[in-house]
Amino acid sequence: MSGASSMPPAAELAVCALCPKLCRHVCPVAVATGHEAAAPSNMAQHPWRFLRGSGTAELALQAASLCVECGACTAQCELHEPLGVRLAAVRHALSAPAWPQPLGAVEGEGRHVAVEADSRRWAEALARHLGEPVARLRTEDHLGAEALAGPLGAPAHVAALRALLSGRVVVVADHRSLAAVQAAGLQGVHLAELAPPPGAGPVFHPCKGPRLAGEAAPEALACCGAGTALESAHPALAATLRTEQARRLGEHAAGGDTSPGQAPPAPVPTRCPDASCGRTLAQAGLLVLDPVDALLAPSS
Amino acid sequence: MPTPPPLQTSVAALDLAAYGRDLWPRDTLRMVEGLAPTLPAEVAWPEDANQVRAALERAREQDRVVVPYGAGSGVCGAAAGRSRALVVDLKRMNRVWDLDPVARTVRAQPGVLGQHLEDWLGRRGFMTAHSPSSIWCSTVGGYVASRSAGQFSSRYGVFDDMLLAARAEAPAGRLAGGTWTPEGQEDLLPLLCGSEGALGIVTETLLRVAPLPATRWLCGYAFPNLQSAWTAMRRVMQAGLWPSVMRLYDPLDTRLNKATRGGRESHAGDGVFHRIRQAVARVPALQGHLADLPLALPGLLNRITGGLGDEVALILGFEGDPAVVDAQVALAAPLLQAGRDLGPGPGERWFAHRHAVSYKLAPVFIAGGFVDTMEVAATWSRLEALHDGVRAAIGRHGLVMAHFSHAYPEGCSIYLSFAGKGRLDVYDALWADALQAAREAGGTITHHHGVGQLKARAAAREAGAAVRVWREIKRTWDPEGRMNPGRLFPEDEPEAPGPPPPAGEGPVYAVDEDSLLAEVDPLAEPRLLEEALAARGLALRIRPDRPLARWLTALERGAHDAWEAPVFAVQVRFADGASARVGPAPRSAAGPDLRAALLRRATPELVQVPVRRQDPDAPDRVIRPPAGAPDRRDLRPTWHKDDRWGFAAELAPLAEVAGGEPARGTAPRRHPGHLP
Repeated sequence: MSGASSMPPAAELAVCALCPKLCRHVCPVAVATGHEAAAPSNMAQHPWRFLRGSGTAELALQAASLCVECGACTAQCELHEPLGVRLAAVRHALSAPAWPQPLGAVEGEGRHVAVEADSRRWAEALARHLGEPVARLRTEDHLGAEALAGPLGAPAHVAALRALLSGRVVVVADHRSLAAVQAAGLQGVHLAELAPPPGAGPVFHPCKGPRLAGEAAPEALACCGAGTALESAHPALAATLRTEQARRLGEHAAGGDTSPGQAPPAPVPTRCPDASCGRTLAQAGLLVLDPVDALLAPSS
Repeated sequence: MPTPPPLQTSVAALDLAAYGRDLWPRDTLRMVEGLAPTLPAEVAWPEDANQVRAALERAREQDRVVVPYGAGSGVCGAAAGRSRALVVDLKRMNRVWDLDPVARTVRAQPGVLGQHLEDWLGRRGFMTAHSPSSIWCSTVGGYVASRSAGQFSSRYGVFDDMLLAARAEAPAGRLAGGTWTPEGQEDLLPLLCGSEGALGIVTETLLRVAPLPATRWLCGYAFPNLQSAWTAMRRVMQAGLWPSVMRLYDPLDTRLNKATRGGRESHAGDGVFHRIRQAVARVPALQGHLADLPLALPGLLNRITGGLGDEVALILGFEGDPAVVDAQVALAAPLLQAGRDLGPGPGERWFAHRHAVSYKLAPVFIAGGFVDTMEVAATWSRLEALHDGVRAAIGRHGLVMAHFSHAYPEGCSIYLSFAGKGRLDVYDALWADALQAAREAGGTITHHHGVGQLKARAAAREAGAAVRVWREIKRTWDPEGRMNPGRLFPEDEPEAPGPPPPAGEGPVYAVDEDSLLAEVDPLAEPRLLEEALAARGLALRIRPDRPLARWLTALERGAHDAWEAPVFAVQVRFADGASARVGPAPRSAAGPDLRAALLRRATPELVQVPVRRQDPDAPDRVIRPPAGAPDRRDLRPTWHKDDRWGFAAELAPLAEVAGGEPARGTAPRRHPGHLP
C-alpha cells in the first residue's frame, strides 16, 4: 500500500457516501450484479470511512475497485459529483504502484505504427488496407496505460513513448492503448476509424471506446467492465456484468427490450469497435466481430 | 433436466457491510458519528422463488433470522442490519413480464427497481404511475413491504391500490394473496402488504397499470393561507375529480421553493442547502459545525420563518385523455377561486425536479445536522389539529416545514421535513414528541413510509388489540419467528386500550360532514343504512348487497376499481371484551391492513364508510356509454353497471365527454365478487 497522500479528501467523498443512492439505477455494476456493495454510495462509504479513521484501507480499496468509471453516476447526479474519478484516485493511492514494462522496438517502416496489444498480428493487414507500409509495436501492458493513469504519471515512460513514436500516426485497437498514447501527447487513431468493421449489424460502444461517426450507444448499455479494476479485484462480479451487458446487447440487437431479469435471446453477430471490450463480450457468449478480426478476415 | 444453479451467498466483509443500514436517518447520523452498524451474518441473492425457499431453509438450518432486502431505501430502519441474520437481497429477481393492455396489469418480481419498471412499461405505452421520490433506489418488493405511496397517488392510488396479487415464500410454506388466493382460503394480501418482511418474502406481484397520459395539465395557485387552500383541495377531491398532482406547500416551503413565482425556470441549485454545501467545500474546517448555531436554536428559527407571511402555493395537475382533462379543469376552476392563478410554471418546475429534493439531504449531515421527514395523515376534519400539533412538537427540536400531498375525498397526508442539530439525543426526543403529537391529534403516524424500528411502538399503540390478529397469522406462517422478528409490533409493548362501544341507536352512529365519512352499524341491512343517510342528504358511495360485515369479508381483490375505497376504519370487540379500531382514514402505512382479518376474527361493532352528498332534486346523469368512449377507468363515473354509467349531477360535463345516449338507472347494489 502506498499510503493515502494522494487520496481525495474525505469531504469530496462525503456527498456520495451520505447520498440516498440516487444513481444506483444507472450504475452498470449495481444493476447487473444486484449487490448492495456495488451501489455507488456504498462504493464511496468505505474510502470515506477510512479517511475519517473508522474504516480499513483494505475495504476501501475493495469498494473502490467495484467502479468501472463509466461516468453514468456523474451524468445522473444533479450535483455532478465525479465519483468515478475520485474512486480511481482512491485505487491509485491504495494500490501498489504500477510500473510500465520497457517499450519494445518499432518493427518495420511506415508512417503508421500498429500497436498490437494481444496475440493477433494485424500490421500487415492494415498495410494492405491502407495501401502503404505500416510498422508494428507489440505491447503486453497496453503501452503502460495503468502506470500512466497513476498518480505519478510515469514521466520517464512518457518520454520514452514520445521518443519512440513522435511523428508517426499510432494506430491502436483498444481503448487502454489509446489512453496511453493520448496521455503521452501523441497522435493516436483507433483502428475502427481507419478500417471500420463491415456489416450492418447492431453496434455496441463500450463506455471508453471510440465512437464511429454517426453512431450512438444504445441507452441501455454502459460499460462492459473490460480492463477495469473490477476484473482483477472482483472477477465473479465482472463476469456477471459481462453476462448482463451481453444480454442487453442481444436484446438491443433483437430490436426489443425484454425484462431486466429475463433470459437472454440467442447471441447475434455484433461488431464492437474496441478489441479489448469485444473480447470481453465474446467471453460472455456474444458473437463479436471486432475491428482486428474484421481486418484479418479473408475477405478483407 | 439441468441442475438449477446454486443459491449465491457471501460472508465477505464488503458485502456484509453493505447491509448494516438502510436509509433511516438515525443510522446515517450514527455513521457520521463513526459508530459501527450491526452487521448480518450472511447475504444471499436468490434468482427465483425456489432459491428464496432455499434461503429460508438455509436460515433454519443455521438458526438465523431472515431480513428481506430490496434496495435499502426505507427510512425507518426496517431493513437495518441485525446480528445472526441472513439477509435475502432480492435485486436479482428483477423480471417484468406479461403486460396485459386490456386488463391493465403486469407481472413483476420484487427486486426490480421502480425506475426500471416504469422504463420497461413506458416503452410499451404504460406505467404504474407509482412515483415515490425514492423511485431510483427502491424496489417493488419494498413498495409492498412498506405500503408505499407515490407522487401521483391522488389519481392512481397508493401501492396498496395497485397491488392486485402476490406470491410469497414464508417459513411455513408458499402463500398467495389477492386475485391469486387459492379457492376457499383467506386472502392474505392485506397482511403481506405492509408486513415489512416479518411474514414472508414476496416473490411475484400482479400490478395495475395505466396508459401513459396523452396530455398533462399543471397549474400553480397562490392562496392567502393554509385554511383556504385546504378548503379548495377538499372541494376538488370531494367533487369527484381526480387530480394527478395536488401539492400544497406551507409558507416556509413556499418561499424556499419560490413556488409562487410564475416562471418556468429552475431554481434547483440556488437553495439554502446548496449554499451551505458550497460554503463547507470552501472551508473544510467548517465541516460538522456550520449548522451548530442555527439548528441549536430551532425555536428562534421557527419563529423567524413563521413571520414570513401566510401565503401558500398549491400545485394542481390533471392528466390523461385530453377531453377528460379539459372537463376536469373546467369543473375544478370554480372550486379554486380563492387562489391566484400562477400559470403552469410552478407545476412544471416541480415536475421537472420532483426527485431532486433527495440531493439536498447529504449536505445537511455534512454541515453537522440531520434531516428527516415524517408523513402523517388524517381526515379533513382533523387535518389542521394534526398539522398544528405535530409541527409544534417537531418545532421544539428542529426547523420544520411541511407540504400536503396525497389528497383524498376523506382527508390528506402531511409531509413534514425537518432539520435538527446532529445529535442522537435530539433526534430521538424529536421523534418521540412528534409521534405522541400525531396520536393525540387523531392522525395516523405514517401515511406511506412504514413502521420499521422508528415507529414500531407507536404502530403497536395505534393498532391496540388488533395486534393479536397479526400475531396469530404470523405464528401460522412463521412459527419460529425468523422473519424480521420484532420489527412491526414489539412483543413487549403493552396492549393499548381500545375504544368504547359506539354510542347511539344506529344504524348511523356519526357522520363527519367535512370528510364525508359515516360511522355505521356493520350488521345493519343496507336499505336501513341508506334510508338513514338519505335523511341527512347523503348516500353510500359503495352500495353493498348485504350487511357490511358480511359484504366486506367476501369482497374479492379487484372487485372494485382502484379509486373506489369501500371502507375505512373498522372497530371490533374480542371475546375477552377488548376492543380495537384500525384503518384510519384516509390511508395508513402503520403495519398491514388488518381490517378484513379483524372482521373475520372478532365481533364487528362499527365500520366507517365513504358517503357522498345527494340532492334529491339533482339526479345523477345516466348514459349508455357508446363504443369508442374513453375507458371507464379513465372517466370514473360515480357509479356503473353493465351498460350504464351514472355521473353525479355536478359531473355532468364528464357524461358529455363519454357521449352516448341518455338512459335511466340508479346505482346498483354490488356483489362482493368480481364485477364485469
